Amino acid sequence: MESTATDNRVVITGAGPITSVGIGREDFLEGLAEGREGVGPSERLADTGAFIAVAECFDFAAEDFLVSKKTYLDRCAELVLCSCILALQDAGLDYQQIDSERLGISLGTAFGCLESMTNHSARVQAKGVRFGSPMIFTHTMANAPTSIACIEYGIRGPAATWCAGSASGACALEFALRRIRDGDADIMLAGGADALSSVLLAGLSPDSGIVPGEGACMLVLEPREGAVARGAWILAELVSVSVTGSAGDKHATIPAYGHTFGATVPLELCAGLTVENAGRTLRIELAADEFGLRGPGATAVIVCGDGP
Amino acid sequence: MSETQSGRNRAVITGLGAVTCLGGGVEGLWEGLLAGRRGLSEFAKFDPTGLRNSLCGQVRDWAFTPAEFGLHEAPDEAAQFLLVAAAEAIADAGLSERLHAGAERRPEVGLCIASNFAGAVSWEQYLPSVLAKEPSLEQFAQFSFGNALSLCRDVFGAAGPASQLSMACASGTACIGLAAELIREGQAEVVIAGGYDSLAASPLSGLSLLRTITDDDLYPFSANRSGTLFGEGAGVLIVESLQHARARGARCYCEVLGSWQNNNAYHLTAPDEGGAGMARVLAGALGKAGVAPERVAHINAHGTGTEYHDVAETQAIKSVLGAAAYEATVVSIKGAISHLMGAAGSVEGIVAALSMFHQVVPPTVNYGEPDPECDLDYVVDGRREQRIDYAASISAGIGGDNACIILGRAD
Repeated sequence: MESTATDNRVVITGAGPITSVGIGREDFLEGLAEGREGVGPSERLADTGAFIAVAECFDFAAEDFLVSKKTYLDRCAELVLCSCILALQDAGLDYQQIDSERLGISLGTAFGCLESMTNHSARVQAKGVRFGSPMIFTHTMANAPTSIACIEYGIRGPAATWCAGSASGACALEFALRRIRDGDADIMLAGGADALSSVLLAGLSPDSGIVPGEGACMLVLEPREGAVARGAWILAELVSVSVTGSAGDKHATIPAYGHTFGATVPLELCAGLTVENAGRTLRIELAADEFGLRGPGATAVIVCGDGP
Repeated sequence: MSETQSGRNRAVITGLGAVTCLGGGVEGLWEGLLAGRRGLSEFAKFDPTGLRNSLCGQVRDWAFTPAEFGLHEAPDEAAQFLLVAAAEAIADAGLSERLHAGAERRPEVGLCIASNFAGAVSWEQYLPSVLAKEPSLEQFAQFSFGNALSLCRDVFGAAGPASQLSMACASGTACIGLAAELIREGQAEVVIAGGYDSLAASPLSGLSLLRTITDDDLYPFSANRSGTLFGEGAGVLIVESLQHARARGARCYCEVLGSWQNNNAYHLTAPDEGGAGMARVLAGALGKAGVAPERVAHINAHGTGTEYHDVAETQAIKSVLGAAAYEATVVSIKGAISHLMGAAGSVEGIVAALSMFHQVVPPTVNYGEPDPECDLDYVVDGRREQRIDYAASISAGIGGDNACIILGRAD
């Protein structure tokens, strides 16, 4: 494999947040700055169980971003596909112009495609194993959103899907950082996504104090030298990511866009990539969250240096 | 063998643990494979009526004792498989005194685990509780992907880097390669790596309806192949820095030299033309390992026995190894233990490691009729002693995910 990175520095040149307070990096940051209301009754889900208010991506319509019509997509896959496009646009990149074998993806999702799992499994349970849906089944797997993004955007470089609860997005960033640093890819799309569904809300405890949210945030990572050479606007340098099981019991503040599970770390990172923070070291500590739904918590520490 | 390479630590495999339908942990698996034994049986877990096949690689006579792991209650079944395989691997590595229930937390010990369906059995129990408007939060927690990761961390005191992958049936191979990366980068001295999955109605329904499951039998790389059969279990490998392993006098099965993982970017279920994605994953892993393709003497193949896959994998191997492909042995163990989904790659990684360590390869069990399109040396006439300096283990999964690891001798 040809290596193009020589100084091993990795930078973030684009982000594609999709949240209840804003879609796209500028709108998302504006939404946060304005204190836009991202929490309310669901418009999409018939049953939100014990949760009266959720942080749904109310204004999100996949058709606004997709190039071609799709027969079926899980909400999580929709979020991922669209976040990829937003991130690439933000970075000033056209996926069709990137060498497909040098373009990679790393996605973190705590729950994957629960709505599709429900659609398939409910049929199996009601009528028997002969009556599941083979088409929906292929969309139930946690790696399906990544796979669909690979097919859609011709991503033939390194690919990974991480399912480590709310640390998922951090795991995804760590893998992507290593791929760029090792010269395994020129561009990595890395981040996280999780979608709200009735079946997810039913499984969460209303006593946990969280506002369940959905969202996605893919980031564009590339070698600093490559970014400088193409005149890209560098949001920050990604210095290190570590995910361990050594967290304390600190509870993170729930942001205005809710608790977005696998998208938590990439979204926090995106929110921190502001003019005021330029040049500062950002540390994102993930607590309150855990790998699964309980346990002593994980720590994801992201260190971002300055841009150019 | 020097303890570092290009300034990086070297990652060796020092412990193995397996739960498969052959029973008896790693010894039962290895001895069974060498003897050409098959561990398949008729579905007992749930009514298979309506599936294309009633044969599967289910784990039989399963007994789990929560107290042995410091637990009050038994977790989800797939997590049980993982915990038992991990305990075997830890014991095999001689690390039981350091890594056990109630032991001190070890920041130098990491986790990299993987599953296709995670707590699939718990999901089957959770869903009816939701539909009945009495959702079981406990079942949901047991189903969730992070559950087994939290359990392993707590049970074995592994407080270092922790991650979990889901890359369909490539999961179990990918996690071994990534564990080795953590070692090479110095992020951990020991990583517990492994894949796990259990049989449940919903995934089996989907796999049957996709006709991935044969209505006949599983004949890897054979002309009469018509699909695969699925099973369950776990495979766990202790991946350790060579320095750490040497300092404590541990036995090293082999070294993990490099890995790659990618996606076909072609179709959710069909393999791409000529196995191009698998060829890229094999070439990528060899590149990372710094091993010339013609030096690969043995490949533990994915070899599912599906019509399209086996020929695509054969083509991929030939396109990367060239003429040397005909000199290498290419083995599928799925005829013996079936396709273990997210655990498949880890169990196959264990078998590849043992093949390197003992310099003997098991046969492709249940090979059927020769297929002119699958024309490599699939070791069809029983176990074979072979000099292996470098080996590869390849996995591929639904969604088009592929993973490959390259192993080298540790001596």
